Amino acid sequence: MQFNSLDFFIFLPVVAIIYFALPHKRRWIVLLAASCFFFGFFYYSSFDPLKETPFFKYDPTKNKPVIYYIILTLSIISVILVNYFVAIIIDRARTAGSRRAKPYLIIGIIYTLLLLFVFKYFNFFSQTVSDIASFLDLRYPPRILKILVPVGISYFTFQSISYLVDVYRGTMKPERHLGILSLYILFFPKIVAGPIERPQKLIKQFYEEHQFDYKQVMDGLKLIAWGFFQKIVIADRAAIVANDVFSNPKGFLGIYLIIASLCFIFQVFCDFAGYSNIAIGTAQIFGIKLTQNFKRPYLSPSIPELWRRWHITLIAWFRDYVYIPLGGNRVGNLRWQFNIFTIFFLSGIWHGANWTFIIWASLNGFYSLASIWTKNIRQKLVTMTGLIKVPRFHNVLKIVNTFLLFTFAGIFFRADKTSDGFYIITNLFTGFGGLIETLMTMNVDTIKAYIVIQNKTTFLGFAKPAFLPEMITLALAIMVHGTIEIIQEVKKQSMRDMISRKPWYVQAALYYCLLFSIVFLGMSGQQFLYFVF
Amino acid sequence: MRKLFGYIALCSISMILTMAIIWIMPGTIPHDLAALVNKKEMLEQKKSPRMIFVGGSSQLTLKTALFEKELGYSMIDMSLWGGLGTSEHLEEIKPYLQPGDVVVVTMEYGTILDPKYYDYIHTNEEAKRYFFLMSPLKHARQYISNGEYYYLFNTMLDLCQGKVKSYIRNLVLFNPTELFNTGFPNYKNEFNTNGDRLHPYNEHRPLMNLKNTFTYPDWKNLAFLNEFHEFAQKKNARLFFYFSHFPESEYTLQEKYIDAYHNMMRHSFKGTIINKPGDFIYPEKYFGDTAYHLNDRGETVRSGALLKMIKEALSRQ
Repeated sequence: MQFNSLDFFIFLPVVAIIYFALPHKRRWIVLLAASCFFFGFFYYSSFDPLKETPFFKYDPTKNKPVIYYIILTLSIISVILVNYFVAIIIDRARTAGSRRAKPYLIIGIIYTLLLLFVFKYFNFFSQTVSDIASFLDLRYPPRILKILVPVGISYFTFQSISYLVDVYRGTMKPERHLGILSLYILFFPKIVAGPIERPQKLIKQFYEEHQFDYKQVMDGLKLIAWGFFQKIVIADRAAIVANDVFSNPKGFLGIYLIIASLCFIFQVFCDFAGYSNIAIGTAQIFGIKLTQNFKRPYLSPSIPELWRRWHITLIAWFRDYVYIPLGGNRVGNLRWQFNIFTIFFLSGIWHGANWTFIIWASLNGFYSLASIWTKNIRQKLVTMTGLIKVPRFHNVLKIVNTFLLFTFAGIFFRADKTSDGFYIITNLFTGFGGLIETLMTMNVDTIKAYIVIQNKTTFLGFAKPAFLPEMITLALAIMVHGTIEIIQEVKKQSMRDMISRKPWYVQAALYYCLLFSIVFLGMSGQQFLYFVF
Repeated sequence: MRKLFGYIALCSISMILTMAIIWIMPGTIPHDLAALVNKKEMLEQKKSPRMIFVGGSSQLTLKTALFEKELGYSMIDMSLWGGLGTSEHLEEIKPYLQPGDVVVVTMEYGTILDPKYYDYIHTNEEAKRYFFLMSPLKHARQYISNGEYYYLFNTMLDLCQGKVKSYIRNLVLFNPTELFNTGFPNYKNEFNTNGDRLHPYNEHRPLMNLKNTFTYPDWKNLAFLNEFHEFAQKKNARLFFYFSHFPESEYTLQEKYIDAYHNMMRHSFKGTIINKPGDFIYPEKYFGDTAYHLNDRGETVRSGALLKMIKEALSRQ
């Protein structure tokens, strides 16, 4: 089930009413059943035997889909069962002082990662081996698995690993209630695209009794509304431009490549942050607090800072389970830099089985290392140019610079192929000379003839008459969003809190505007980007 | 819980009221098919005797000013897009038909001879949505009688969304005079007072290849023409039909199907056929961007020939 579907608007209140109507002891059953339904409904509603999607890679002419559903269900059940029993064994071995805890931990992690590899990376791996073989004049046809990919597999794999590691480290006791452990893995608001929750934080909340709290529910609903604004007013609109240009970059002048890259960078943030806000707001209705996943990343003055505010739960996971075990920053300088780059590299692989993601993440890793290497030079430059005397202006420059660097790397994130990514970055300024010359003529028809793509009924993905209104709406929505982000950043508090202190009529007017924009300016039907991860 | 439901109800009511206000307020919709509204207004305003052209974009560049001068009829070019479906388009015109009207119909070959395109035409949601905009009450009654409440709501919401975007565009670009126009935002710059497209189609080569998608026609897909003919007769109006233009190269490839279509129409159509397919088969140099769109040169030739044919047909009756 998608959050931005009518089904979800029926599903959520029904589940919430049943949840609060039942005694606390039975509520986990409601949440687990709802989570299974949510998960299953996703496949049921988006099933199209004629269309291959990131989730449907099977061959309907050769095999019956039911087999894939069975494999899918069994694999998820197996992850839960392996986690359940291995954690208990690890805990027993650990408390007995036995050295056997570590092998069990490794078995548990390998099993979980193996499923991730089979479902998500096998085809990529096979294709890469085949490409290398053909480069070496060897024959190795790629073996492509046609299977149903479990939605959110990357998320629940990481949650499973953190559960096993935390039990191994002794920071938590193994969960003896299989239903609660299943709920930790499958809890519907975060199953498909996070946030990646830690067991210590989430599991105990399932045991706590949550009374119906009007204020909390209203706050959750407001957060959901804000998430929808981000998703359907900004992200889905920006996606139309980005999709049109990135699907055929060679058909566009540099200016359109730049516009599409900027559109994509707003799309990816508003899509994912929007999803996270809807997930957090939904969980809040049930009295469960999920972790904040984004903290105004585009207002970061540096790339490392941006990565502390972007997909916070993923980065924190890598920090705690990879970076720190590798030695973190308590090692030699070179090793520390290697650790930093490793995190970025792994984050690229996590995002998807494609070289474009690896290049994107590696570029960000390179930026982070470059910021270490150039620290002294930059400080000297700031002093020399006098920027040190105008810290606010300096900060704005740093924010703009960080944003542009992130946008540049984002080209690879969105590009369908590595070659497309390279084409775009090398052609960003193609046709600028002609554009400036045309603009100098000050003749509307000449300018129109130059900028409008001929012989196409659409312009940057929109039907030609709709292009201008849609782009104005997008620009206004981004401005409103940016202003709200800046106010929150400066005042260091959430907009919802600030609004709640205003008179009722101001609150009513503001929330009316939010609802109005969702209902009358929202686009429909686009899937969340991070579902495919 | 009661307070929460109260707020949710309040929010829903406020949005429904807002939607009602937007629906009532005049405004344009940034979609080509919104021009149907302007064309309907033209249909309501023009006085008898009238000649009403119904067809797809192939007929949109017609030079009807020439016809007006020669024939003395008020010209109404209702053509817009072949994908709207001629049967549905004629249904929309029925309530406005007046005694003495001459309705001239043409259909692009693909709309009859390409089964996939035929299916698309009669199921596409966009056409339904903009026919709804043309006569909302009639369609709303149909949706309600079919129990399609959600579809009705969705259609109205979608059209309101279009209006809101137009308001935003006009406010941001300081176009207060255009704020409360109706139909297509740029209608006056795109169409003349008879509803013809002002700018000829650009030339683009190669022409769209139809990829041999044609097959033999089925009379049941054309029977609506006789039904409309009978309706027109009752209203003392007339129905003329003509075969559309086509490039020579495509005609050679599809000749057997087009001939079968011609024969079927000759035997079964009760109205007046004013030409045969061969009359409007032109070399590629007369075409614009597709096999259905003539360039300015082609249109001058076609309009001249069509005028002659209509004149003859009128004199025969």
